Amino acid sequence: MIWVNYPLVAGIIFCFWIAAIIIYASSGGKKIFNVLGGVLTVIGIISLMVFIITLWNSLERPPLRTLGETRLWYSFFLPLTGFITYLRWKYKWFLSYSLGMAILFLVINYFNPETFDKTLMPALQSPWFIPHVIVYIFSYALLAASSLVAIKGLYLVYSGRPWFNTLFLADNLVYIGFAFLTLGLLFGALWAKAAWGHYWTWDPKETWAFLTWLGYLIYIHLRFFHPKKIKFQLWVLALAFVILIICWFGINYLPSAQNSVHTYNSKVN
Amino acid sequence: MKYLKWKYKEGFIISFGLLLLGFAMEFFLGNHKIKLSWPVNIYCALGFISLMGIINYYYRGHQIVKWLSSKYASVSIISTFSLLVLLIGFIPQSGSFANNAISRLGLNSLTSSWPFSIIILYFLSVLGFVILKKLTPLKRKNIGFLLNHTGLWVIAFAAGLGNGDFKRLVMEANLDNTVWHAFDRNNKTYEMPLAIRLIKFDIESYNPKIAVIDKVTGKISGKRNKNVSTIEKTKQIIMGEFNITINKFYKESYWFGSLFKPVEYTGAAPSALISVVNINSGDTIQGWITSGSYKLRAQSLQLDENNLLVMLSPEPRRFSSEVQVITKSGSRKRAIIEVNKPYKIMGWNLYQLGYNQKMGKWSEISIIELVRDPWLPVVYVGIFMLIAGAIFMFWQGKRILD
Repeated sequence: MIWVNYPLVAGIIFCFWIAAIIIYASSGGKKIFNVLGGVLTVIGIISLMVFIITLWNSLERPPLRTLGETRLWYSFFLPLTGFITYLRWKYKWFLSYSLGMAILFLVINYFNPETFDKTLMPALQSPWFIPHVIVYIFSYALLAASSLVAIKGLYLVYSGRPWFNTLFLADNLVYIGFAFLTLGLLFGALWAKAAWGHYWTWDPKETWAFLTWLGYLIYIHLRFFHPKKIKFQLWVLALAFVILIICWFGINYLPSAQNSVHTYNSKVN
Repeated sequence: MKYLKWKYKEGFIISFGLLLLGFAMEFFLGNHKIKLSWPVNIYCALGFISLMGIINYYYRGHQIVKWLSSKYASVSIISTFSLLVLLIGFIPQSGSFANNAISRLGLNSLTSSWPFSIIILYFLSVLGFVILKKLTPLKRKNIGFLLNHTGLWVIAFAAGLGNGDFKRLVMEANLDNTVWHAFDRNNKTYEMPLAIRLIKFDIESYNPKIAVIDKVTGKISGKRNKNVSTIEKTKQIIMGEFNITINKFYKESYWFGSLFKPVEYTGAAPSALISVVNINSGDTIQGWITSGSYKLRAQSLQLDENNLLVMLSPEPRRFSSEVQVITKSGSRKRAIIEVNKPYKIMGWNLYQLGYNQKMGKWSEISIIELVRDPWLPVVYVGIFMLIAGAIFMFWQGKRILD
């Protein structure tokens, strides 16, 4: 059972990433420290990737089913996104944030591991399963980051400081995140045709995924049409993330979602 | 030429006005139940597209046409449409017709209501004019924009118009007869151009799990992930204070008075001969457990005062129906229909939908869903345009709009 090894692996990654955050915070612009921080970050990412691959092998199915398993992917993609963004735009604080979030998810998994059993119900056995879920997780990681950037942007705007670069980062994250969100939605539609006979049935999860998409769509259009009215748009961006959270976690508590086909906790119908 | 000075206020007045008009119509006229089917929908499609084209060709400088492709019209209709979708997200779409405010306003069947149809039509007009504006003259830098916007337009347009041609029926295939008729959701019978005969229904299962449960509550004792385990090749499992050894395991077996034997009877169940050592007290217990079936009672092993060792019902790995499909022209084809793997014939997709759950694996019927959606290729064109647009967007980042 590979899950037995999790505390050790997670512990090692935890130490690497904490070290990276500390090094970045105290580097003071020295190149050697930045390189060292980068190396530690990357070692952590690779270790987690190896763990996921091994887990995948031992489960004999992709580890994308339980919340605990998706948290692993989240912990993997967040630092990856952070690191690529860092290489491109040199935002150290953003990399530290994504490492912090990833660590948080690692810790949650340590205290609250899900049953990592091997069974995968027939409805989920499809070539669409992996692209659908991975694309969504990646998109959520980016959009979560963008909402944090939005909060920072709001702080800057309200305190009268320069915000241009912050908004530029938010826009880039939203654009890339939105592209992935679109792909996730469409892959879901193509899969639904094969699994349930129709590409769109207004299932509650579909409706909320569509709402999430619409939220970011509104943000993108507002940003494009009114590049200077930033306060309102930053609030829209923050609000869009609330819809995303409802779609991801909250859906099981909505009265409209009692018959959702996306609730996988119960037995197969 | 005058330029219309309408902005967001007017944009929202128009889209909200249409929304209210829709709800008023729903309230007074009831659910429209309009389902455009072939060939009326294709005439409507061609009519709508030609009308948009003609207006764009002759009146593209007109202030109203210009306004309809403006940012004010776009943002206000996206927002209004989002509001409508938000209602769908919160109100259960049961579609029942009780005589209360919710159902009189169509709030529980919004996707087939007047407000929804009217808003979609307005949305398609605005989006259409936006596309036409960017389309002529065609510029290379607009490719990403056009893929995204046209893709969405095609999906919404084709999904709306194709709705009337979409058929979803259910057939109950069995071992004895060839079935030629199917039912819709209202139990209306349809004579089909194809027939199905069930050859064999099957469920393949994973190995069952064993679990230590609390005798009183019936829930898994202690930490959930420590006290459940799938039966595997490893014979030894430690759960809390119990050291469990699996001496024998049969995936399909039957009870013969004092022991299980592996057989493939109808109603056979998985079973295991288990011995348990209590690590604290050193006590040893031995016995058979089974998850049971519709013919066989479940058996568990009492571990101590509070705890039972049980076998959970095996979880299905694969549902499949081996069937013979016969067409009116007399062709006979064997096919295997599985979840996620529909079988396609004569424009119909055949899906594995259900079975007799009481009999499980030995079900003598299989419920097959038949779906026909002739507009699907058009929707797919839209979906693939949107996928291409998304890849474009990813590649370009924010530059796409700069």
